[in-house]
Amino acid sequence: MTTTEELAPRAPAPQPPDRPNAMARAVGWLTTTDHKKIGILYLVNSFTFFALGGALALLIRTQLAEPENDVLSPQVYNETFTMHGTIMIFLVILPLLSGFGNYIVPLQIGALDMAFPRVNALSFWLLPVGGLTIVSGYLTSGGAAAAGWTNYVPLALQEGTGEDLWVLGLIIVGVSSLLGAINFIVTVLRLRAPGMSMVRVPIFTWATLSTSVLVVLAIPALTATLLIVFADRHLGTVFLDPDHGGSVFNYLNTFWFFGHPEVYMLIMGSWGIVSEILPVFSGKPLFGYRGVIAALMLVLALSFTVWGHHLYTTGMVDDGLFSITTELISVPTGVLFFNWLFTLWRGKLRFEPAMLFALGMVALFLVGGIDGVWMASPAMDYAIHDTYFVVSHIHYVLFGGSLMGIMAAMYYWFPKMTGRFLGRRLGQVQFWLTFIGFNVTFFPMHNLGLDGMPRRVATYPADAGWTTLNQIATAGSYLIAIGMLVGFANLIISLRKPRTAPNDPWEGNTLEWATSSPPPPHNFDALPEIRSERPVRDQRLEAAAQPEGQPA
Amino acid sequence: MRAGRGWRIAACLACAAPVMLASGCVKSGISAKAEETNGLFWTIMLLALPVFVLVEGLLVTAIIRFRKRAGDDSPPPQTPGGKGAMTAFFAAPLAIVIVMLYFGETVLADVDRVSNNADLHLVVTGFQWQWSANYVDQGFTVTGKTDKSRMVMEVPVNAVVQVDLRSTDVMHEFYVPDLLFMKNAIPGHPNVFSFKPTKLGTYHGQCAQFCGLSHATMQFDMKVVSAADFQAWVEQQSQPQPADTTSCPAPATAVTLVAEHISWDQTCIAVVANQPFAITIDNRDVGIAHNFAIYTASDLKNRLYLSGDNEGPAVDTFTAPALPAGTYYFQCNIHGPAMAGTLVVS
Amino acid sequence: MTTLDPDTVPRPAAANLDRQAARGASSALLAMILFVASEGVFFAAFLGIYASAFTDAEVWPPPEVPLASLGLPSAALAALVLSAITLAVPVRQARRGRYTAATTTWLATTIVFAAAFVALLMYGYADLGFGIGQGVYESLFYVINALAVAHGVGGIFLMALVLLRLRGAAPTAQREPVLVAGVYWYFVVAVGVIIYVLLYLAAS
Repeated sequence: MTTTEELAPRAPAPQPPDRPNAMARAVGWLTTTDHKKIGILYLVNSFTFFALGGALALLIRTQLAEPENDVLSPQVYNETFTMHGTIMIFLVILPLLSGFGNYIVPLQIGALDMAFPRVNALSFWLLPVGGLTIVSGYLTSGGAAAAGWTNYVPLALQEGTGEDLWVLGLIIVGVSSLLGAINFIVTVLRLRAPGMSMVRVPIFTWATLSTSVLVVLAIPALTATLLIVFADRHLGTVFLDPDHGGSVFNYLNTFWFFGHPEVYMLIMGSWGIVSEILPVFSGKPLFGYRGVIAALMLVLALSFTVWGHHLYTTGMVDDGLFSITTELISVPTGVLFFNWLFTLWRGKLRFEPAMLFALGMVALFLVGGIDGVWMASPAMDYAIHDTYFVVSHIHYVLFGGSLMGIMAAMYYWFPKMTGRFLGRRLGQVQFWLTFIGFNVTFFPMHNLGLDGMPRRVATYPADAGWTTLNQIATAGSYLIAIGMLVGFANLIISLRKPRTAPNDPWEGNTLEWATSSPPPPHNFDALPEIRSERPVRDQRLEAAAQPEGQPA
Repeated sequence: MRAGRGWRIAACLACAAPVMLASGCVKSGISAKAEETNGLFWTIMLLALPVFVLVEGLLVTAIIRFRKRAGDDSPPPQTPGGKGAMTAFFAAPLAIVIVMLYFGETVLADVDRVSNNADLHLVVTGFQWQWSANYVDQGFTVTGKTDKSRMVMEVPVNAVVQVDLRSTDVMHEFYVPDLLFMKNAIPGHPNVFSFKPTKLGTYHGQCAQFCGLSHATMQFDMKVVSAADFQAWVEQQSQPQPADTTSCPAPATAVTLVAEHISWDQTCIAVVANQPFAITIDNRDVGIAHNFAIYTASDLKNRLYLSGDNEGPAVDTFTAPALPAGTYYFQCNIHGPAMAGTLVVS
Repeated sequence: MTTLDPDTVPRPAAANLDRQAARGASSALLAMILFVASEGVFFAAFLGIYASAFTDAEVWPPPEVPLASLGLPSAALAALVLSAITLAVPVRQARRGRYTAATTTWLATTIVFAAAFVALLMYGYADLGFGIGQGVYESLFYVINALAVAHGVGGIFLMALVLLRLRGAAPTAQREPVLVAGVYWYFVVAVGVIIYVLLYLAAS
């Protein structure tokens, strides 16, 4: 595909667009190995699943709006929250971060493409295949998988065909993540432009690298648990059968060895995004760039030592020991907050929608970080484990943290990807609806949990006293939904606007802003010299200092 | 500026958050251990709330003070952050964590301690989907019926209760919010814990570990009563329940029992004495196993027969041995007294 | 500022491309090392189950298990060790950048030994005296062995692919595939040795 086609799809055409051309474009998308197109495919695929996962969330909240409600039967409710969790975790957040990683990482390090472009295409295409396999459980007579996204055994062994599709789909998604992660690591380690040493690599790329290391070392544990579940269901093995020397801990330990690093896979990318956006819209460098990298590396290492905190109440792990590692991991996380705050301090803050979402992420993720401290303490966890307190916590981390960061990334990089700006006013509306709706939905869940409402219940008794807070939460969830619809409208409207975005609309720091918006297929016509972690800023200052027309 | 108004709303929300948390939502607890956990909650709050207020406060302050004013094009100071700042950033949270760990581990040691001289021994069993509590020394069991009735268990006030927690099928979790405590019931791995309730009352309990279809209704009530009331309740429970044989059909040599929604379709069956009989189990519970066991009485002391497991949905026929004439007790051993009845042999 | 003149430098930016191609030489190797690390965690998950079953059991393996004889597995191990030795030659040559006809010969020999390993291991399956579901030891035995066989077959395919590519390829193009296949096969060898020790040797 030539550059001209890429840049001028809306050139005035006297004749109506002919079919072969549309066909050729479709084939171009299906067969592309360009990391930028694959990145966009990732985003489109994930936002489609996001719509599905969000609709399921609204069903959950609708069911819980009233005590002893019967909008959903218990079976359907169980399928709904299982699929909501599975979709959001495996098919939305991680692939969205991979999508931005795919588009942005090669640009940020000044590379032509990913290290293995064809493998990259494969890792994308495995994703919708795996996702549809998981969702196709709805077409079986027993319904979709309904054992929760954690798929605890022996319950998972009782499930129907939907469970098998869930297992198979997740294995495919896991392979997709693994291939993608290896590709990211090799790309970052091998394909950096001259001058781009590891201590000049942008934090988002560092975060993608850390995430990828987590994927490489943790996803195989998930694959192993899925295999164990499948083998016990169909091959007659007894890994999980206590009557034959097996144990459910063979599942629990292996699953959470994956499961906790998984949480960091979902949040690190968002840390990276915020660490890109706050400096740009403050006009300052990221405070303590190397400290942030050190914090990322510490989290990476510690995340493999904390899985037991999911098992405090099983009576099978050393709770005291795991509480030490778990609370220690809050130290590097705390460092990030200080670095972000000091980046803002004495800056000149511009409140573009990307900045709003990034600030919102800091504000909300802090809640998720702090309420996690209660659960990290085993004795306290005995009181709130498996209650709505946990539901609140994971949503403050994964929605308030990851998804707010992803929304920020969307507003931040959309001009780079499409050459068009997402609307500023609609962006503000979306942010405030989401931010307020989010707190209204999820903050009361802390109180519900402390009041003893267990998670994953299809309904609750009217005399339990949980009705009011549940109704508040449900109202908030509709507010979020409206916010997301505004965001979707913004996307559609913006895609119809003319391409007005310059190379560097935000006065950015990193290399993706050194090329056109959208970039040509080969990414760069020219690379600025890289002497710091902010090469584009260096170039901008140099250009301002030099008289017009003089070559560098 | 419009964005400014938004941030003011956000500041209010941020202030409202700790107020909501502080509005007395954590349970005060009905045992010494629970009160200690409650204390731990507030200790953590004492350490965490200042951090929360500091960070959100700095954030809001930065947003208000350091906004880019119109016409101000001077570059902001380019502070990269040095080693000193980084050391402080790592040291401050580390100090808080160490204090937190000290309190956390102290309370944990107390809460985890299992008393050796318990006044009351219970074997609590979770199954899909109800609980049963066997009063070991008193020799009776209380239970509930899936989706129909909750288990009601009574414990005497100021007595040390030791619970031996088991599961016969999938993972469950014994959770009494007012005890500020939950523990998993895991197949093949019994857990033991103890508590000493100090406040009279009826307390809600529920399974907290998602366990399938009727997880939400797997509730129970724990009544903390005076010693005298407990004694009276024990005597009432210990009365031999007169077997209800009025609904019993005529004796046969082959019996069919339908198991559906963790219930037998009959609570009394009759067979001919002194000859083996066929027992057919029509299990309609998808993914759930049932079996058929015969005992001389509901105290489960003398088991006469136990069939193999029937994994639903399935119809299996087993052959039970010949029994002399008399009245027996039968149940599904996985679901205990929740699926029990009378076997009349004549 | 380094500016690439679009007139003299053909797109895509040639300097960049060349540099990346030169560095790309070690990319495949790095990718394989990462893949093998991931596979290592995968096997470690099963070895973890083995370890917990081992520590829980009073007698290991469970006394009622009719143990597999050591004959065939030992022969399989021997074949595996031989394959590791024969593979050392082409790997060493690739690392030093020397290429002779012996490279292909030794690689072919490795494939033969690798095939012997897989065949002997599978043949040993035929007369096992226990089923997959009798206990956790038996389940581990079957599943870990099956995974080893699957990885062995994968390795044979990979080496055969390399062998085909070596024929008539320029010497510079030979280096990378041999090293990549070598990393993978040495991982299989390590897994094979661990399995022999844990499932056969420790059990008898």
